[in-house]
Amino acid sequence: MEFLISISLVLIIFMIMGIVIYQKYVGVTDTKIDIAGRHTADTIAENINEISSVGNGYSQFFTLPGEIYGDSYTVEFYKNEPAVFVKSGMTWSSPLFTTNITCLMSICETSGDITRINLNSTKKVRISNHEGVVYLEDSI
Amino acid sequence: MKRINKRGQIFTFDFIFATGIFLVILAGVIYLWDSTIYGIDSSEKNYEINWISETTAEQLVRIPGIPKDWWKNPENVTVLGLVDADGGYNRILDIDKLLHFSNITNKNYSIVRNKLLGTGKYNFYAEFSCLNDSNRDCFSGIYVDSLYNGNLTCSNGFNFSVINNRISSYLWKEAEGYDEQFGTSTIVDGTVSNSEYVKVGADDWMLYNISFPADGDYKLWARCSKTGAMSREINVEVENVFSFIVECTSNDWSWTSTSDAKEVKVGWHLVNLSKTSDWVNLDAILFTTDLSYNPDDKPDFGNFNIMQPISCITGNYSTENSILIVSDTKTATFSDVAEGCNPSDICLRDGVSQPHNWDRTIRLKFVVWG
Repeated sequence: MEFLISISLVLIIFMIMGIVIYQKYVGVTDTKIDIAGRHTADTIAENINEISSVGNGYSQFFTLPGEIYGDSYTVEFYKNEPAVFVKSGMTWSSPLFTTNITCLMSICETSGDITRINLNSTKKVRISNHEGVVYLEDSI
Repeated sequence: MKRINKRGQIFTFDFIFATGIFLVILAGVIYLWDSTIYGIDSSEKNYEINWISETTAEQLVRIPGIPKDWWKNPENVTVLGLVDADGGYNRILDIDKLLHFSNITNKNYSIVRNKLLGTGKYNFYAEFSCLNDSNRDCFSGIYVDSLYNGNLTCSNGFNFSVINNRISSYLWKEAEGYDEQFGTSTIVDGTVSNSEYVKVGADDWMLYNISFPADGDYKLWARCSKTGAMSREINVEVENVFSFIVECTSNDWSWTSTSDAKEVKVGWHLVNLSKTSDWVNLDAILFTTDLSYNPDDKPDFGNFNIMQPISCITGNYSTENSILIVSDTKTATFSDVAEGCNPSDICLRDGVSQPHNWDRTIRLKFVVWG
């Protein structure tokens, strides 16, 4: 009887420990995903804002990560919303200086007011400013 | 007879002690884990709020916004920016955009917040002040396209009074702040503005070099007192072009003004104050284009720069309960420097070159908090 009680006690302790560790693991994973997503949104916004504010004729390259913590993700721009949205389970957004963005990359889709980039592999992007319009192009 | 302990060995003190130690260590590990995650979360939040603050402050002083002339229809603005669309330069601001930015923020704070920050998670306020912290001269006399006559007020009560398309000027000069004088004496008195006034007798005079920020009709106020029953007149000549007569009627300190306003051109002007008869005490003078302004019923001796807020704050600035407050400060200037003048240029008026040092540089402090 005592043995059974002891074993039960040990099992209960391990169960509680398991649950706590699992919860912590989920929390840490969420934090990691959140950080990765936010940094991706900020990187895109930083590049677009920089190229938008320096003026006509400037261009530069930047790299979009292929995944956010192991998952593919989507980048979205809206015609009337000065922000970039990154979606992968969660959604992150960063403010933009412009809404005049045209995506000419092969992986871009435009429907109505939304421009969407679906990413599942690392992508090098050429970004340029031509007369106030920011162009995103495939890097050759 | 010896009693036999029928309990098994599993409930020994060792077991309970070991379990206790294990649980204590486990609790310690969980605590450390939690505090580490909390630390990472906090620093990430700090990074995010810093990033937003810096980016948004930069946005306001570097882009004209979309559409470029959004101030004509502020409700339909897509991207907010304060740069003058015609200026073509970063950090040259359009006063119309600043005024309408303040106005729409007062009316629709949450919409403006979401547009600027790209999120509703945090709050913001923007503070516009002159580079010279002690006054609001950088706003004086700027041409406003969108308002002929009227007032626009910032969230903190800072008031832009616009008359004939120009922001009103309040040029305050302490009487003892003369550039040259003859025969006067300066008296220390704790009851007057700046704790000093000037006693002016017959044939005495004082000369002030005053920079007028824009063309306009200026009314002159003088804070004076006298002795005796008769009123005293002060003659105020602006570069021998025309003169104001101010009549000092009270034996106590009081403000008195010219009956009408006279047009003064932009630039530096020598203003000569002289007495025509007996002694009079002079504390301060004020040239203003705000013809309805009466300093006599105002606190702080009617000094606009003291009684009014020095900076225009727009947005939500009730930050008492906020955990994180991050600010970023930028400087910019206004496109309308003063007619015909550029910052640090020489202004020509009537064929005479005059150094123009009317500093229109402003400081934008953009604060994000959450």
